[in-house]
Amino acid sequence: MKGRRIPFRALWLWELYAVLVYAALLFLIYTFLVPFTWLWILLVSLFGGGYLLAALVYFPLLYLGTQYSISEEAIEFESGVLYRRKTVLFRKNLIVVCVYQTPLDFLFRLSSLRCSGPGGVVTLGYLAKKEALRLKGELTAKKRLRPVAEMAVRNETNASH
Amino acid sequence: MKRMHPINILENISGYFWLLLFPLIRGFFSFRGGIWAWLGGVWFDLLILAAIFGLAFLRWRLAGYELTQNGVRVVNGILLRRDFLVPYQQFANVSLVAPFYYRPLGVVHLSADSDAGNDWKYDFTLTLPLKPAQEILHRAKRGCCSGLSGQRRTYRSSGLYIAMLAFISSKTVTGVVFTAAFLVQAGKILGHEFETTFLQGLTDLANKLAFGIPPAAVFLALVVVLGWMISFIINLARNYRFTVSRQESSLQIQSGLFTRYRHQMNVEKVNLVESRQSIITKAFRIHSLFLHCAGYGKAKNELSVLFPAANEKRAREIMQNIMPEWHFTRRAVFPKGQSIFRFILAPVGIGVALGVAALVLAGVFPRLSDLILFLGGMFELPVLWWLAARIIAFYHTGISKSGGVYTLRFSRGFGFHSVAVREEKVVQVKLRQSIWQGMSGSCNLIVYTWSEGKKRHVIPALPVEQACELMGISKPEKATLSGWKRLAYGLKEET
Repeated sequence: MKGRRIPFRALWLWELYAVLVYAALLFLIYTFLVPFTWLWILLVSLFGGGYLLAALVYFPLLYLGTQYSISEEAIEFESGVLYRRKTVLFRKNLIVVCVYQTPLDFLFRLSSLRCSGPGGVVTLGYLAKKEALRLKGELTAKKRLRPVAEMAVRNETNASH
Repeated sequence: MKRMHPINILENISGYFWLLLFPLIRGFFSFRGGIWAWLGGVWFDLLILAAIFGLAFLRWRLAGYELTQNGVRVVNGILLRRDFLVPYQQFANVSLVAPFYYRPLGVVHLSADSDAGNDWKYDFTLTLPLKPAQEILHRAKRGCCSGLSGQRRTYRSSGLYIAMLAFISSKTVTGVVFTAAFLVQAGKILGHEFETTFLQGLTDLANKLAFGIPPAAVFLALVVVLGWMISFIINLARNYRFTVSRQESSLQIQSGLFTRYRHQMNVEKVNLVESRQSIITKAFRIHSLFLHCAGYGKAKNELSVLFPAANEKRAREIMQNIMPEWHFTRRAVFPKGQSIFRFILAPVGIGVALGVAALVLAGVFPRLSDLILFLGGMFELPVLWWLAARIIAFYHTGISKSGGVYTLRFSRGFGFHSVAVREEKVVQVKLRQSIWQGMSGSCNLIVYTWSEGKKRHVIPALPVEQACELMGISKPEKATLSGWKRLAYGLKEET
């Protein structure tokens, strides 16, 4: 697979998530535990170690190992550090393509592209917003609409349910 | 717009039983004031009762159906009105269920389903007299076949094979739940004496059978055996007189001793055909054939059976004559020899741990050593059975492709599954590799097939390159420390 890499700012977003989670945990420890007791020190150092490992090793590796590609036949997404996962959704069965953003995605100008088929979903996460919209256009282009048109009858039935 | 059979009013009543909570709460509070205080508020209970019957009637009165030229139009709901049409061509399955208590009235439940909607509910269910139900069935059949002139091929299962399917698919839990429900209902009707007598009888039997074994253990064993037997009888009655027939694109399945089931499927909407085996049936080369189609196997305790059980030759013959679009092929890609450890590691580990624990405990408690060693041995038996299942699973697992049909072979628990799925019904493929699998070049292949919900098949420990080639997808990046390598060179590449 000649994969495309997700934008570098996705890594910054993950780092921000890590900081936020670490800050929330520290807040809880400071609120509920007596400072400088053995449990307090153990938890602070455990979470600190976990944060450093995630921020300095796990997320950079995850970023470097994440790639996606879209061909005439399939949409592919590959990711993972300890467990690598490669997901392939065949385009002949593609029904719905949806672009969505979380509030933090919005700050970093990122979007995710969710492609659904009858029984399978692949999410291309943390794409640049422009790229996500371009891919959405490409995937729902007229020449590829045949399966979507076929499913329109089903969707009509489904919607009226 | 036609209405359902009036018996539907009685069926609707159960939906409003929750309203009975109000008289219960009133009774709880007013009984403290004595019988007269309670009688003074009876009008409220009668009002609730009238509301239950009234709402059930209204629900029946406002529901209806219409057979249009294109499909079945259904209208229902009181506050939330639903009006929808399911085109005949989109019908995947139409089921007619005639419960034994409805048969004298000539009433059936008709349930229809298409590939749309959710995976736990039919598109619609109607309670109808037999004639209009058959009319819908006929129109659905015409929707999937241009004409019905084709040859009709029919297979009927023998009682022995139906018993075999019941034997494989019977679960103790189902039987125990059924018995519990039966006891509670019988207790309500016949009084608690019946319930007490039944349980006392079971306890007496347990005491008689307990030769040096704790009666509680015998009682438990009896409950398990009884539960399994009841589940076995339910399955037997359900699949009795099982008949499958195929005419053009229409597949018909009929079965049932007391309650009669009739399913009609559009073969084009069948997603896959599956053969299931247990250790015992695998030893005798007997297959139970199942199929996956929207709406079939959705009802409570219903299995999506294509044919209850057949030997290898007959199973092949049934596949050729009833479902010729699907076929099973020998595995072309299968786990490498070294992957056997992945299969047997868990049972061997647990077996050894159990053995060591039993020996150590027997040493620590010498007085109880006989009992501990006996229990250790008893626990080892299922582990050995599991080990046998895992070894068979290693030789069973694999994938192949021939004539546009994939055959996926894998195991789940103590069962061995072979799935035949047409290429166009494979929706998604996932490859998963741990670090160790990355090093040995193997992967777990997860195949998602066409379904209303999610239907996935996990085939473990396949050689990654061959699996990708067979599934027609590009190879994943070599997992072995890929990220680490890219950490050193990746950023350079990107710039």
